[in-house]
Amino acid sequence: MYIHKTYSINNKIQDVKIYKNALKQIAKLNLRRSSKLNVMAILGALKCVDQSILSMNTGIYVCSEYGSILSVKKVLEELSIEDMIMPFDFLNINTNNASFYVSQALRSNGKNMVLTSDNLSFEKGLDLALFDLEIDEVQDLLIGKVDESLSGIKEHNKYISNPQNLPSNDYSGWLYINKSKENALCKIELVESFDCLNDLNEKIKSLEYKSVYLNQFAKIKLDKINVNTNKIVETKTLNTMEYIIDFIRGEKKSILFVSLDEKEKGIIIYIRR
Amino acid sequence: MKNDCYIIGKSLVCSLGSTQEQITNTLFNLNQENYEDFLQEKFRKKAFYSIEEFPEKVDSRFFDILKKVIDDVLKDACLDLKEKEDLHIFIGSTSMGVSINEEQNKRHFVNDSEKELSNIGYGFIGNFVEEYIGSKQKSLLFSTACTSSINALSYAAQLIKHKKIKKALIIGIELFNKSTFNGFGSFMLLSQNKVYRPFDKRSDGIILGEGCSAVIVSSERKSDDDFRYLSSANICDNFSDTSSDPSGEPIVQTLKKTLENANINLKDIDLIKAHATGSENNNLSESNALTKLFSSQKIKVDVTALKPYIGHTLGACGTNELIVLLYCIQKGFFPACLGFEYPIDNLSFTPLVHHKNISNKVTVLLNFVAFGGNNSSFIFTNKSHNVHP
Repeated sequence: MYIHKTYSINNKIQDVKIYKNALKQIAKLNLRRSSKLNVMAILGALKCVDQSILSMNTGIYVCSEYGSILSVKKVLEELSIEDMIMPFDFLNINTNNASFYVSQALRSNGKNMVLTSDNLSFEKGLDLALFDLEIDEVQDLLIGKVDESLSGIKEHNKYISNPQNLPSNDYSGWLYINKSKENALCKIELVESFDCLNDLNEKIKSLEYKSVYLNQFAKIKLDKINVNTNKIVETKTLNTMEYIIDFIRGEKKSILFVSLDEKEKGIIIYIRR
Repeated sequence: MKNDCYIIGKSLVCSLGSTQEQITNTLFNLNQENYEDFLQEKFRKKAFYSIEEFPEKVDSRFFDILKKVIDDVLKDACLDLKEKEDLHIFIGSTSMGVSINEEQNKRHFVNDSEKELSNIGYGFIGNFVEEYIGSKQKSLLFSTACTSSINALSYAAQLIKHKKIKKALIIGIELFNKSTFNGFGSFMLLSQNKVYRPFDKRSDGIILGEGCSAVIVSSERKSDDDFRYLSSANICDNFSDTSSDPSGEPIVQTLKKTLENANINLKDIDLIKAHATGSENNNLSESNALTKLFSSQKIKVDVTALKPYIGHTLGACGTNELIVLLYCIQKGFFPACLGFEYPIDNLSFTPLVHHKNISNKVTVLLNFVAFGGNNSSFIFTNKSHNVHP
């Protein structure tokens, strides 16, 4: 499976108007009252595709840890105070609209999914999306990791697992992937899940890699993970997607991504240029 | 060579009850004559299909219902410890745990708690299920509105078929919450007459319900009676975020693709379970789609709807309605489309008006339509391999 295009928005918290204005420059869409999550998703996806013509059967996969949390919080407050909800606020808490608007903007009729999996949403989503590509359920796929910054929520780290206190940014990162080798940026050689570190370590032994990225839970368990520590790349990013995009921008030949959750369940992604 | 995928365990808690016997008997005894009385009794407090066995004000309600459904499905599938550890977990829901967040925010609002929220994100539901059953696998949650749990099930079945996994637990959960109830109200989508009437001229909207269900699918059958997954399909209808293309074209494309994927024709289908929300848009788009499907294959098959019995359970309706139907088939009938009497304009088919006795070997096509243009269909059968479905 080959990555052909990438794009990411990775900002400290911004007002939704900033993203709406950026979107206006590239598309005519009526998103006046849409959530920041939706706007960021569409902006990231359209910038990633960058006017390429995709197949009608492009799968759209939006992976999100927190969904449209700012809209959810607004609705919860409205309900606590007034016991009522406005129509657009209701639409905005339905996270699945993010993938719909991307599909609509791209005029794709392929499947669209919104997925989450505690601390491994992107990794699990990528695994599923590549399965669809493998069995020819979709011809192309566009996968995004989209989350609003939580910094507007008081003491947000109380609610999430963020042991290294990494910054929470507005993030919309996208990969365009298909089976065609031609003009590809790099190849995804492997995405594999592990339910214990022994099996994960056995797999790592069998792979040759020039660099290795560990997510924050993997870093904490470094003494239990069998990687060459000299090859670990230092990063302050909260998510694997951003580092995949970073790797593609760089010059290293291959990279191994080791992502764990709090319970040591892990996923390995292995990419070669 | 692909694997087969069998449904080896099922459980459901809904407004009709929490056991197969309770749900099937109540449903079997309902008919067009006693339907409105049944609804009047059910909607004493509000027009909502509630799970009365689990009172709304209890804090642990979400997890109590979830645990009940998981316990029942594990018992039904007779899994040993090792099999539980290896279960892959797929969860589908529209509102996820928003009811828990609503309660927490309310406590915060009246100064009973410092925390504004109970959780950010809904991965915690997956964590709970993993820990409760002792699974080593990482759960994946689907949020595709009303198709959430059927998409979760379809993926699990496909992964089994393609030998990626051996067994999976799929959960659909949708419990009462004000965000959804008031949200649908704000769009004026809820029925004012408080009678669910799919495809009927008097239909005036949706009636929401709550339900939680679980299915265990496996590459190995447990008994000769197990139902088998045949196919599924999902496509995006780009017409609108809140309504389907009235022509029904995207829905019929999904249905046709599901038949193609199963390598069967419409004549092999014994029943179509329509999505049938009772909204004006759904009545029109889905009836147009079924009309197109029937005319393209020059055959009509029985059509029914299940929301009149359990309400529209949104993201959980996929697995909830699948199980309701499996219960009915095991009792030897296809349930009637209650509330249907006067067809909407140009309806080219007549949904089942009365329960229909059936042989116990059938093939059924389920149709689901969601906000965000997410259309999904699913076919299952209990006919044997050597008999073409």
